[in-house]
Amino acid sequence: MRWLVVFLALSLLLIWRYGDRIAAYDLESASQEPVITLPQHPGELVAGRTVEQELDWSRLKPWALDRYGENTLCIAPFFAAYGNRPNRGSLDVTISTPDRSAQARLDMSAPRDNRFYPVCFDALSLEEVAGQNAVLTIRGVDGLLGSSVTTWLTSAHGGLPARVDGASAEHGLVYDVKVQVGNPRERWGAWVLVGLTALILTALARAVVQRGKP
Amino acid sequence: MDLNRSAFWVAAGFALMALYLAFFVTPPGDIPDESGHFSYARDIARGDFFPLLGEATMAPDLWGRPREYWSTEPRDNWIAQHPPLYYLIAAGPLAVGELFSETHPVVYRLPRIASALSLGALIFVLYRLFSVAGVKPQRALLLAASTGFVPMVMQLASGTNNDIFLFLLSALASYYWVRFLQDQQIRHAYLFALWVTLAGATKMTAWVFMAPMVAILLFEMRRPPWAWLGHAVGVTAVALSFPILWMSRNLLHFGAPFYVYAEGAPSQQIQDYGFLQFMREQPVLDSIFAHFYGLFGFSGYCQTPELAQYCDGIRMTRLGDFPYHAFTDIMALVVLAYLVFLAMVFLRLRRAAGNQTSAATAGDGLPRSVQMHLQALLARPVVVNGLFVFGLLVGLGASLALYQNNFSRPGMAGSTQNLMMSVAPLAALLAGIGVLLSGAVRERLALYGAVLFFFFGSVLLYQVYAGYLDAGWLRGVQGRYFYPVLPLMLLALGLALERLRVPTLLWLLVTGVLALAFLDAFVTQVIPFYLSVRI
Repeated sequence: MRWLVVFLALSLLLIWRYGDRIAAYDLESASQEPVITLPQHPGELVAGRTVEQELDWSRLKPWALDRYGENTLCIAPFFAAYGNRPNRGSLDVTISTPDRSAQARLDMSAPRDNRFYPVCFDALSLEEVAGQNAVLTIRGVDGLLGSSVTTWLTSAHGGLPARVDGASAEHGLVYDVKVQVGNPRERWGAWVLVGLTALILTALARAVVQRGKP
Repeated sequence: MDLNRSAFWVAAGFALMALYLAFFVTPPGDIPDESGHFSYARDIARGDFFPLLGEATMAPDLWGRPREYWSTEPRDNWIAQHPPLYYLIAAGPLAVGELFSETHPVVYRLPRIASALSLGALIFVLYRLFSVAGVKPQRALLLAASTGFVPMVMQLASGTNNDIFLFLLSALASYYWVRFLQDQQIRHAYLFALWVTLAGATKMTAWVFMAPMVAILLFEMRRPPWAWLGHAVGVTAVALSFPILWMSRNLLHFGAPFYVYAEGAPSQQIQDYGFLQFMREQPVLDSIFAHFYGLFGFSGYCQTPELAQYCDGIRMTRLGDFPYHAFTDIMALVVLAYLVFLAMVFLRLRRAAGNQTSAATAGDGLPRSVQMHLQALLARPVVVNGLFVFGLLVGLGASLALYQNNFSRPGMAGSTQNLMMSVAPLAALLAGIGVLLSGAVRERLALYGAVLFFFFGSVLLYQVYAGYLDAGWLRGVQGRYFYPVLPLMLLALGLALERLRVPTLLWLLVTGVLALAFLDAFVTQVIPFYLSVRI
């Protein structure tokens, strides 16, 4: 019985450590990884501040539309969360093309420092917007100075600079285009690995503490 | 539950994990050269038991590709250069599967069963090897399990590839080799020879391991001269039986006993490129070490036949971050412990020198071995001191030269790694001197591992260097090539830690860190890599 408890405790510990990571297998990147050079950020995205970026479809992987065209579109900006302090408030993230737009709300406590954090648009698939003149807008809804996140900008986006609070910036937004694909096989695979690792470790711990005969 | 049973269940856990990865996670084709290994196994499953290098081709329908996407030109299967034993076994599940379907996606994964089960058997055999040699059984189990927590070992066990099976056969050969050194029962010598020839029937790298193993066994054999000679011939003949058959076949077909696949004609033969310059400028040891821990991917990214036009070459990634750093640091500490152990051995040998109660003169009724004669001759304080100083100076010089001339990546892992690898000549030389002087079998077992490892590594290094001069690019820098000598190297480290009285709980903690690193590697690097490159 006590070894069952050890196994469960170990499993819970590993689930706590890797749960988010495994859940993120749901998303796959449809674009080449962005290059970040001379990074800058526009300051905290408090209420009313905006960052706009025209999406650069030339960065899509060549097979992205064939493989992921019908999948839900997500955009993952690269956030600065100020050392993961407890940020609060929310951001509205909008994608607009000439004939459609979709919006999602992001809780600012979620993004981690210097990490991509995806925002998914359930109403849009990749093929519905890819290749079109699409603008991503990130707008502060109710964030306060000292507890809001911001996004990183990079100089490596020649030709497509961002607009910050309506004014043209020298740098472009760092973002990744992702799609929701599910990947249940890989998620299950990771969970099974977690379970079996916990099981083997439990068996080893049991073997170590028992006074068995060789 | 006794420890053998615990070891069995732990081994079964590893086999189960490898089976799960084989059937549900590792993409088909994402094990090094899996397309060739699979094609070889399938040739056998379909009745062609000895496909010939140069004639054998890759299966055109790999991984269930529909006929309209089959490659039009047959591709050479260079994997046919390997001896056939692993493929004979891997062909079994495939032949059974093909009775039901030749194209079902699961069929292409069936030969992987052989590798996955080999991993389970390997963990158990390693546990038996370590415990029979003198590592406390609990710690022996932890050491054996740590091997399974090397991501590359698990990766290879989840694919169609001969390395884990070779590792298993080498562990079995090492087990009987150790038993013979301990009890001098001649059947153990022949069982060693049998397993080692089977290892030689699996991969030619085992031939390199076989030579010093047989030599040491004869060096340690305690028989009257004529019996010694008879068994020397007998054991050598059994050990060499398969390699000789394979060499004869190579001679018959290709005119060279060691014939292997040549990757095109030598493209740019390099002149005036010294060995030290080669070591300084090329990431040789760095790659071997990094690839030992984890080099993932191959051609498995190409999974959608309709998008095959985007498939070009291979996609691979090395493990990094926490898992790699944790492994490097743990290995560095273990190597440091081994150096401390060597110092303790020499202190003991100095004290024991001249004391004629050592095992060399113990009256157990058996004649002396060559080792014992030498030991009796050398076990004098002045000789021990002289040999120790000689080993220390020459070994330190060689290690320093290696350290200064070894390519090293900047950063902590690179420096730790460089230091750790650079002590190999020093450790091997001192260990080599130690086996001449030590009267305790268990102590010699802890020394032979370093000697064998260094010998094997030197041969590999020479091959890599010669290959570089020939082809102009670095090849063969795979840590998995060390699997044949790993059982005895691990045993040496285990016995050293045993001698240093490292507490079992610390072993458990280290195994726990390796397990966490292993899981971290798969969850945060390997599976995301599969997803990020998949077409």
